[in-house]
Amino acid sequence: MDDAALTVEEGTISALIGPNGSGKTTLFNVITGFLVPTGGKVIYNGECIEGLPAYKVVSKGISRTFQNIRLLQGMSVLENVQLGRDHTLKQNFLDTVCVSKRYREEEKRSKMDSEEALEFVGLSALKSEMAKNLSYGLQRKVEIARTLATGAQLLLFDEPCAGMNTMEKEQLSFLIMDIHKKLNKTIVVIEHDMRFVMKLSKHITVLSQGVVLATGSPIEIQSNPKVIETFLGSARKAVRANA
Amino acid sequence: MKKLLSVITESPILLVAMICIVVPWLTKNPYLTHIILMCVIYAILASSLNIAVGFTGLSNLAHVTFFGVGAFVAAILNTRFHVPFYVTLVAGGLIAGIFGVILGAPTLRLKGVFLAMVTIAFGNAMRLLEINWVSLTNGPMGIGGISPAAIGGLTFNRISYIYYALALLILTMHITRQIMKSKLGRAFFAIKYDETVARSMGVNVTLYKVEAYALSACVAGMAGTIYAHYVAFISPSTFTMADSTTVLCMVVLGGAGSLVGPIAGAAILTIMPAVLRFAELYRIVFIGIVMVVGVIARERNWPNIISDVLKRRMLRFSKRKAVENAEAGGQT
Repeated sequence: MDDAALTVEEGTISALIGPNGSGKTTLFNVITGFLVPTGGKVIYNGECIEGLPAYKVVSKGISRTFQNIRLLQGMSVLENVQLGRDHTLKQNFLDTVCVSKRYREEEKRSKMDSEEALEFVGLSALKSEMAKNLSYGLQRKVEIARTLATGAQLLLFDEPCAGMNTMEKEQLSFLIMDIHKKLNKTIVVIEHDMRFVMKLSKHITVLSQGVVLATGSPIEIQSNPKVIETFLGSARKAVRANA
Repeated sequence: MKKLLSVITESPILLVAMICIVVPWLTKNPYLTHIILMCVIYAILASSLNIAVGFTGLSNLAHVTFFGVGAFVAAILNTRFHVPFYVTLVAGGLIAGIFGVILGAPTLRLKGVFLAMVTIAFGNAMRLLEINWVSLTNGPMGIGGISPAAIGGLTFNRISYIYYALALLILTMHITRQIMKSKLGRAFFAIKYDETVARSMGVNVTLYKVEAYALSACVAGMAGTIYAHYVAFISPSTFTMADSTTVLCMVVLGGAGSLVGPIAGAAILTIMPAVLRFAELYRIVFIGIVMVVGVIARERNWPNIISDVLKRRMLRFSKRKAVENAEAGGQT
């Protein structure tokens, strides 16, 4: 990835699009501390966070989902969401073993907050279910509930629609809009489904081969000749291959 | 009566405690008492190993090493500096915990087979240390004359050791159960199932991995202290790699990651060889068969399937009985 510059305005839904291999997930990995950039900065809320170890990023206020659904299969839905809340808890080993007041209060609050997050995505009925028993679409919702439970202000969703049918995509777009409107979160989505992207986002950044091709509103991007060439080019290749 | 039964089965800790409290009184036979004590000690070792292996998904094929460290600490402090039991207990646990950190800290990036190999190397290195550092450990000649445990003026007899080990087992079970319901437990399980997710949710994987090793080592070390005072003589050959493998088998057989699983595994693999004494070499074959069948059964969920079938049969039987009684009552 060279010279990628992504600017996200607080309180908006933005999209990051581009052909496969253009560096979108890499960019997410750099923002969330899973990759250290060889140059450049990541500035969040006025603070430089590039090079910060991955486990410290969530407490700065950034949370993400992954391309492949990564739930802890052997734990219940509620426990998975509680994991998101855990970074806000202060209990230590002694609290846990001595069942201190701090432990009891924190666990109670963590359960309540996690149930709230599950309620928001409409899954409170399944909180005791093992994560591995849920369908793909529901697991994706649990992953989103988990990011809500972290309390992060900036949510990064990496291809949330992957593997979904039209109806599920529609539901997901409403959920994301809900999260944006009711919870006032800033959201960046990586997606390949153009209709989904155009409907949802206020601002789009187009990445190609590790470089920013164009940025702007959906209308601007749709009429940008460079973008049309990149995407139309790959669409033309697909048509020729199938013919 | 039914209510009492349900209370006991719902609280595994209570159940284990009751069994262990009652059983020693049933026999005066020193051999049986010894078996019961070894059963409790192996249960402690399996439970403590479970924290690192079952909860956090780490490998440790040399867990008995920490048991040995605790025993040696007790032996050295007691025979040279006349340190009494309850101090050696704490010291044994703490120093074994430090060795847990020594194992954990450099092995953070290793996984699976590679981590397992390094733990074997660690175990062997410790054994060589124990054998060769003669000025500290007396080498292969071992340390004898460890005074029996005593609290105040009362010296322990054989049965008291069982109760002391039982206290440690109950503490371990309590710690395990609490961990399972806390932030610490969720962090451990997250590391086991998916380290990337753990990191992205704010879990300091490095710290927690070391903590897992240190905690399991600390408990094993305390068990080692009790054992040292019990047998009064220890040497490097008291603690072998085969014992470590046995403890791991107990965890796997009983069910890694659960509360009572390792304890059930310990009970089976301690009592069975004793019961099968008469079969001599064939008992090893029996144990092997139990291991294989046990692991397959758990993987395929046979225990739950069997208990479901039994429950349904019981229900049908009790319904039929109720109908028969009603008819009989109607006739008279």
